[in-house]
Formats: sequence, C-alpha cells, structure tokens
Amino acid sequence: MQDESDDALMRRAGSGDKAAFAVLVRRHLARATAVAQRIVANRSDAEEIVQETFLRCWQKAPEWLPANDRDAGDAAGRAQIGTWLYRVLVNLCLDRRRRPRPVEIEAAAEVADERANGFDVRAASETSRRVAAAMAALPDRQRAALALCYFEELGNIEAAAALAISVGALESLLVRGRRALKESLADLAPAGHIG
Amino acid sequence: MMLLERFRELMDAYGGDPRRWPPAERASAAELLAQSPEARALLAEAATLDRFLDRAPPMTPATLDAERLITRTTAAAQERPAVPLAGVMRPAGRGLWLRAASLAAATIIGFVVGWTQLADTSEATAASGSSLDFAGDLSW
Repeated sequence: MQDESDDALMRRAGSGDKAAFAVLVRRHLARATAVAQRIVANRSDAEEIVQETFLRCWQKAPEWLPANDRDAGDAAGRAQIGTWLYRVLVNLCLDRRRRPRPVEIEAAAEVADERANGFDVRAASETSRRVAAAMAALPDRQRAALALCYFEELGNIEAAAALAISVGALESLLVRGRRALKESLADLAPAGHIG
Repeated sequence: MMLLERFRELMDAYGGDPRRWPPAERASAAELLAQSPEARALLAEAATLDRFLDRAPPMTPATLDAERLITRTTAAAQERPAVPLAGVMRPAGRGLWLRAASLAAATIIGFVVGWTQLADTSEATAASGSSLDFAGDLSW
C-alpha cells in the first residue's frame, strides 16, 4: 500500500479504507503544512487549515473520480489528488487571510510570539527576518504562488491548478512577487542592487 | 532553441535554479545558456535573489500529530454520492405490476387489521353487554 499511487489510495479511501487514507495523510502532511504556513504566516491557523483540508478529503473520497484514465500510471494519479488537495488547501488559506482581524490583536500576537507566524525566527539572522517580512508583505496570491513554486517546488502546472489559474497567470503572479521582493530587499545587496 | 525573451520570463518567474523551470523548457533553456552570454547574465541576476530567498527562516516544526489527525478525521462520516435517478429507467410494465402488488398488499393488510379489531370489539361488547354500530367501525 505504501507504494500505491495517490489515485489508488484515494479510491480505496472512498470505500472507507482508513489505512489507505492514513498513507495519503502521511505522504502529504508535511508539505501541506509548510505551504499553509507560508501562505497564512500563522502556525495555528495553518494547522487548522491542514486538518480541515484532510477532513474534506476524507469526506469527499467516495465521490473521487480521477479526470484521467483509471489505468494511468502513478505520476498521473499522484498529480491528480495532489492538485485537488492543494487547491482545497490554498482556497482555505486565502479565505482565512480575507477574514478581518483586529489590528491591535494581530500586532500584539506577533510581538508576543514570533514563532506563531510559522517562521522559526529565533534561529534567523537579520537577513532572514527581512526576507520573512518581505514575504509577509506580499499580496496573498503572490505569496501563495511563491510558496507553491519556489519554496515547495511544485511544478508550474500543479501550482497553477492549485490556484485555479492558467500557467500564464501563475507566471504573472511569480514575476510580480519576485519583483516586489527584489525591491524590498535591494538595500541588503552589497552594491545596493539585487538580481 | 529558446528565445532570449522567453528565457528572461523564466528567470523573472522561476529564478535561476533549473529544477524550478517548467520541465518541457529545461532543455531548450540549457541550450541557450550554453551559447548566450546575455542568458548567463540573466541567470546570475535571478540567482542573486534566490540566495536571499533561500535565507528565509525555516518553518517552525509542525505540531500536528499525523496519527491523531488520521484518527480524528476518519471518525467523520463520508459523504456518499446520491444515487442518480435521471437516466435510470425501469420498464413501465414491471413498474405498474409492482405498484399494483403494493396496493393489493396494503388492502389485504388493512382488511386483516380491521377484521381483527372488529373481532376484539365484538368480544368486548359481548362481555360488557353494550352494542356497537359495526358498520360505523368498519373504516376500510
């Protein structure tokens, strides 16, 4: 079962196979958590979102029908459920970010516990903190695109599907995000110029 | 071979590490790199920003326990897809027979229940000495 494709595991889970679902969770949990943390910049929110994502995955498993041929190889099967999983995750993250949060509470929480942001800033240098701050300042969808493509190295097709956009639109988000980061961090480069 | 303009777009979007470039374009991008000093300059520029991004603080270790997550999640009910009725057509004759049989069964049951109640009532009436309008009690 450990070597089965995501698609095969999802079909088993749809029949109530908890062991198959457990393999799916263990396979995707770490990366899903990292993606959520980078988008919402809040560890407890990220963990709630990840739990909700897997709950929906379990509940919807009986309805799971892969878009491609059922006899498709492992790579195709994995891309399908992974794409669906990350689409749910990203949507939940972006919805969470849209919730109005009292500014004074948010600021106090950030001062009280930087680790709650998801970054281990105790281990971070000044440069690292600046990079984290620059990422946090990005518009949510640009940060999500960079989280998926740059930090978690999802393929462009899978990342675009997770954001429910075209590859061209994904590249536009990435370009704008990288440009904003470049401007934000320009003073850190030795000659005042960053690539 | 890739055009320099497309190579610039790749650098601007994905950075300087070929592992992040779209798989279908890696070979042609590498070919251009080997031949174009301008492409190499673009890659070096993108790689500078990558070095800063790579210094982003690591994520705090997740506190989610996979096994507890699995246990809690799989305790929830799954959503069974609704049986589609559209397009599932039973032959009309068979359907009519089933409906007629159901009606007949209901009639027989009603008769038996009514008759049983009538018998009970008659016995009670006889025992108590009172009379009943049987026609009024026969509700079937």
